[in-house]
Amino acid sequence: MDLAALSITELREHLRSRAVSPVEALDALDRRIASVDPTIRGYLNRDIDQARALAATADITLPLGGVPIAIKDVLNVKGQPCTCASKILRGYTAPYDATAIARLRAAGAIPFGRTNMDEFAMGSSTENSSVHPTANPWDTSRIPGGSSGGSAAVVAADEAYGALGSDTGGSIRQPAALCGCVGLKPTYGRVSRFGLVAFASSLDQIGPFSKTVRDSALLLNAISGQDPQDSTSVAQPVPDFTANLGRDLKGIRLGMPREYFIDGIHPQVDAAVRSAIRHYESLGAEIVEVSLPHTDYAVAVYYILATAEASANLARFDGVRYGHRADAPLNLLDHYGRTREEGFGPEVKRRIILGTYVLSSGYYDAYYLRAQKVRTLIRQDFTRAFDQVDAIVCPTSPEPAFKAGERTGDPLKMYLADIFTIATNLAGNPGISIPCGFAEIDGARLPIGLQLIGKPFEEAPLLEIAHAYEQSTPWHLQHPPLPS
Amino acid sequence: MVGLKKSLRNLSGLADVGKAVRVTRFIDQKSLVFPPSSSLLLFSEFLISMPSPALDVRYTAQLARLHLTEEEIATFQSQLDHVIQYVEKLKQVDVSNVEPTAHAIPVFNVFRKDESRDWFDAATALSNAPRQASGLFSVTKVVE
Repeated sequence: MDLAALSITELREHLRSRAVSPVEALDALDRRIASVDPTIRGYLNRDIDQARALAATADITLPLGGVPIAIKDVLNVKGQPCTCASKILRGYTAPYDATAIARLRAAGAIPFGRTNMDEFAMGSSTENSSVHPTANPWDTSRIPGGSSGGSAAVVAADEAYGALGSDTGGSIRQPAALCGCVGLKPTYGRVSRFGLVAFASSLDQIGPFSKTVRDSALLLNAISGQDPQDSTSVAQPVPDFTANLGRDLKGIRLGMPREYFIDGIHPQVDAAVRSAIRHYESLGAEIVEVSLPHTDYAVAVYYILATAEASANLARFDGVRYGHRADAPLNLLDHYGRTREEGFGPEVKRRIILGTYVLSSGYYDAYYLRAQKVRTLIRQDFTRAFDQVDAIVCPTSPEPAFKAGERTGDPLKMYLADIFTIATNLAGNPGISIPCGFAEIDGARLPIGLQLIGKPFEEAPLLEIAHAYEQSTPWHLQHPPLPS
Repeated sequence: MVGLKKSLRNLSGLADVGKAVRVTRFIDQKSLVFPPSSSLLLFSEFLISMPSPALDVRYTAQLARLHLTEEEIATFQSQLDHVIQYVEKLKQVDVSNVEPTAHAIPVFNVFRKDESRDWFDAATALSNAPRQASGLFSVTKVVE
C-alpha cells in the first residue's frame, strides 16, 4: 500500500483500525518527500524528530488524530522557523502557535514541514520565494501557482496528506487549480488570523489544501471559529462541514457570471469549465446567468488596497524585535533603510512602494479611498447575484500553469493571473477550487481548476456542491507523472 | 489656493507639472505629512526630496524607510508607472454616494475582559531579537 498517496479520510480509516500507526504514516510521507522533493522543492524544511515524537503519542480517536499536515511558511508553529520565504525572517523561531495551528493540534493533527511560498505571500507563481522556486508536479518546467505554491505542490505530489495555506487574492485557489488539488478559502472571519504573518489584513484568510473535498471539510472543521485573539474573527456557529456531503443537487441554482467568460481565457480552460457546468446540469442543478458588473475593476482595487495594507503591516520589520538587522548602521534612518533593503526581495519592495504611495498625502482620496468605494460596489455585485443563486461557478485561473521565468519581468501581467479569484477576497465570500480536467500543452497534461463561490459563512453548501462534482468525475483520482 | 489644489488634483498622475504646482503641493502637504512619518528627516532634506506629482519611487522609498539602488529605482519606476496607469481605470467608476468598505464582514466593538493572561515572559519575547542588552531590545541611537 502506498501510504503517502492516501487522502486524509482514507488514512484516518487505516489509523483508526490500527492497520497503520501514526509513525508509519509519517515515515511514509518522509520517504516520499526524500524521493520527490529534490525535484519539486515544495518544502523549505521539516523536523522529522519533532513530528515523530508527536506521532508516537498521537490520540487517534480525535478527528485528525495522527495526521501530519504541511504548513505554509507564513503561520507560526511554536518552535519551528517561520520565514515567509523572506531573508528578513531568516533565523526566526516562532515562540507561539497560531490559533489555526493550536486548533489543528487540538484535533490531533501533527504540523509537519514548512511549505514554500512567494515572499510574504506576494505573488502568483512562488518564484518570489527568496529561498528557491517550487516546480509544478505535472510539468516541472512550470510554476505551481502562488503564493501558496509549496502547499499545493506537496499535496498534489503526495508529499503531504493535506496542508494549510493563506489566501489574500487567490493564493490558495489559484495554486490548487494549477497543481490539480482542492483549495478552499473560507469566508473572511471564519478562521482566526492570529499567528498568520499579516499581508493585507482585510483580505487574508487561512484555508486548507487537500486531495478531496471531504478532506478540506475535515480540516475546516478543525480550524474554524471565533477567537478572542483576532477581533475580526466572527461569532458564527461552526457546523460539521462533512455532515451533508453526498446530498443530491436537485433544486440547487448555480450562477455563471457573464463577466468571467471573456476573451483571453485559455480555450482549453474555457472548454473544461463549460463542460463542468453541463455536468452540474446533469446532476440536477439549474444554471442561471448572473452579472458581476464591477469585475473589471477588481484587480485595480486589489492592488491598491492590498499594497496599502501591506506597506503598513510590513513596517513592523524594523530590525529591532526580530528578523534581519543591517550591520553598523550610521543612524536610525540608515538602520531602517538598509535593514529593509537587505531583507526584502524585489516584489515586496515594489508593493511597499506602491502601498506607501496610495496612502500618502494628496493621493489617499484619489487611490485608496476610491478603491474602498469600488470595493463596496464589488461586494454589492455579489450580494445581488446571491439573491438568485446558491453558488457561482467559474474558472479559478484564466490559464493553466505557465513556464517558470515567463512573467517575472512584468508585474502587471503577473497580477492579472488573479483576475478570477481577487473579487472573492474583496467581497469576503468563501471560494473553493476543485480539479475539472486537463489542458494538453506541449505534451504536458496540466490541471484545470473549477472555482465555486458561496455565500458568506455558507461553506457547508459550497463543499456539498463541490463534493457532488468531484465524486462523479475522475479528475481527483489522477496523479502527476512522478517516480513512485 | 483652492483652485491650485483642484488643478493639482486634476493633474495628479501626470509627470509634466510645473514648478508652481510643486511648491503648492509642498505647502499643501506640509501640514499633513511633515515630518513624513518620522521626526528624523530634517526640513531641508524634505525640501530637497520633494516628490513630483506622479509616483516618485525615490521619494516614496524614503517615506517607506527603504533604501533602493539606482537600478531598482529605475526598474520600479517604469514597472509601477504601468501599474498606476492600469489602476487609473477606477476613475471611470461613479462612486458618488458610495460608502467605502474597510472590511468585507463588518464586526464592531469587540471587547474582552481586561484581565492578565499567561503569555510570553521577557526572555521569550527577546528570543528573536537581533540585538539585546540587559533584558531589553537594543535600538540604534535615536537622538544625536
